[in-house]
Formats: sequence, structure tokens, C-alpha cells
Amino acid sequence: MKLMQQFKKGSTPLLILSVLTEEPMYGYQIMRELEARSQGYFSLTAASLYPTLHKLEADNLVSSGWQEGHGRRRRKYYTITNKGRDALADHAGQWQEFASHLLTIIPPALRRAPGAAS
Amino acid sequence: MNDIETYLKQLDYALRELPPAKRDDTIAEIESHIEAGLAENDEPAKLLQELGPPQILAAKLHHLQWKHNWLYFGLATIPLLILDIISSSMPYYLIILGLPLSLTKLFALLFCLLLLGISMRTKSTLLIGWWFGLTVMRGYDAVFMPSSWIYLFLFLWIGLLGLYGRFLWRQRTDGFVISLSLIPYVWGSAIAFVPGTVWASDHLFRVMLTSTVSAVALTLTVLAAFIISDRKQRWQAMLIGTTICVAATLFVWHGSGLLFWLFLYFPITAGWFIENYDQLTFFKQRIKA
Repeated sequence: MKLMQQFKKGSTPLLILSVLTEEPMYGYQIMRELEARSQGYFSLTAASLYPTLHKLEADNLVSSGWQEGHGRRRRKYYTITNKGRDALADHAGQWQEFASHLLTIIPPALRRAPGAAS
Repeated sequence: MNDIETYLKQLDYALRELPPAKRDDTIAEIESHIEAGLAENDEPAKLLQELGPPQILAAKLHHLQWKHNWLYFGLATIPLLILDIISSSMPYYLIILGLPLSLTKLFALLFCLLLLGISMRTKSTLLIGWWFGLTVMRGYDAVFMPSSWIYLFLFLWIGLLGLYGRFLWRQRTDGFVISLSLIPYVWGSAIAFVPGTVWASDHLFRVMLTSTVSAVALTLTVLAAFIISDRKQRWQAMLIGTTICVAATLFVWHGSGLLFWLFLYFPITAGWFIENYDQLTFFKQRIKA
């Protein structure tokens, strides 16, 4: 369980950048979108989302701006930058490489399909 | 006041070390997050639980800012210590207090110089007024400076305080850093006077007592400013702490020493003043109305 938590924590920037590739989103929307896309497997808390977003912005991987949202409520939208897209591609490549190498080590009998009960 | 308002108020207080624009932006964002959740029929309690305690969220949001502030804290201590070494190395003080005083301050200086080396990367100009003002103020207390210069330096000091106050007013952040920097200094002074009291003259004993009371009061005052989130209570705590510091100073110091110690407490007052900036603005608006 701890291992999964560490994996998820380490992949938070990757998850956020991935969600932002299609359109700019505000914080709450990112959380819900991530949950929906992963069918509840990945669920960020606001406590980890906002510090990560601020860090990504400080690293120029995302940019932000206030816009009128639905019902004339102001929302702070985050947009992935070109640098962010490059970082995402690099990050995603590293994860894929890591996962494929890991699978070559784990005996086939111990592998299970994604979504199977633990 | 409901839970959400209380949460936002606590977060606002916990984020006070951030520059005002960044602080306002962050509060607005968290407020917008809560609004979005309520619009989706999320329970307020669940939303607040997801955000976590305001102090923890604030710490995560500005950990880099803190790192810089602690470096400033080291920087701000240095001029005090340099000048203390100069003045305590004078023959008069060496005879009265002995070598331990100078050695204590020397070790503290080396520590601060180490911090200075690390903080060179921050390239802050905010503390220049503080450094220069203290140098002037402490400098005239040393034996090498003619006493007739005191008045000139007092005028300079008032001008520098104005500039320094303007910096603080704009930043609303360094008042506390500088208040913090005084803590090792006042404790250093209190401890350094202990060897002198072994062969105590009455005056030295009073100096040690006063220094200790000041150090305790200053530490508690600064801590109160950090811990108490209720504005009115914080105001009262800082006022009491500052009054004790000043009263302790009046008890033992006089002449140039008194002026120095009173000015030493300016940063506490400034920090307290800045912390209550919003409330003061409110009063100003009422006066105008």
C-alpha cells in the first residue's frame, strides 16, 4: 500500500500535466477530471493539488490566469506550456521505460490485468 | 462566522509571509475551489477536510519563501553582532565583563557569516536600511566615536527608519524576520552577562536581569505574533510584550544605552503594526468617513 502511495505521489505532476493537455482547467476541475478518467483510481486531494500546481507554475510547466467561469464565477485556469509538454513527453517516456523494464523482471504468473481485484 | 470563513481567515493568516499579491491570489483560488465544490453539491466539511489544516496547506504553498526568510533572519543578526564585538572589545568592557563575552559573540558572528555566505544568492536589498541604521546607532555607542556626533546620527536614524518602514509597509513580510533575528541577539546578551555577575556589582546584576526579561518577553512576543490567529488577541499580546521589553529597558539603561535599546524594539512594533495593516486601513477609512 505504501509503495502505491509513493508511486501515486511521484506521478502527481505527470497526471496533472496529462489532464491539461486537452484544455485549460481550474483546480477543482482537474481533480474531478482525473478521477473520472481513471475511474476513481487516481484521486488527488486539494492539499496536494494546489502546491503541485504552484510548483509546476514556478517551473514554467504551466501558466495560469483568472477567467469568468460558469455562472460568472471567476476561476483560475491552468494551461500547459510548451516546456510543460516537453516535460510531460519526457516524464511519460521515463514511466513507460520503467514499467516495461519492471515487467521483464516480474514473472508472468505474478502479473495481473489492470483493474483486477487485489 | 461559518467554518469556511474561519478556514479562509486562518489560511490568510498562515500565508502572511507571502508577498501581498501572491497571498491574495492564493486565497482567492482556494475560495474559488470551495465555491466550485459547493456548486457540485460537495459537503463543506468534506471540502475543508480535503484541503487539510490551513497551516499545513500554507506551509506547502510557500516553503520556498520560508527558506529565503530564514536566510534573511541570519543576515539581519550580523550587524548587531559585529558592532557588539567592536564595543565589547574596548578595554573598558573587557575589564568589566571579561573575555567570555567577546568569545560568545565571536562564535555567533562566525555562525552568521556562514549564513551570509549561503544567502549571498538571495541578493536582497531590503535589509540595507536595517544594517546601516543599526551600524550607525550601535557605532556611536562604541568608545571610538565622539559623543557630540550623537545628535547627527539620531537625525540619520530617524530618516533611515522612515525608509525602512516604507520597505516593510510595501513588503509586509520582513518585520517578522527581523524581529526573529533579535531573539538570538537578546539571548546572547543575557547569557553573556552571566560571567560578569559572578563577581557581581549591583548594576551588572540588574543588567543581566533586564536582558533576561527582555529576551523572554521578546521571544514570547514574536511567538505570539506567529501563533495567535485572532487579530484582536494578537494585537493585545504584542502590545503587552513590547511594553514589557520597553519597561525592562527603562529599568536599567539610560542615556545612549537607553536610546539604543528603545530603537532595538522598533522592528517588533513595526512587525506588529504591519501585521494589523488591514485593521489600520479600516480605522483610516472610518476617520475619513
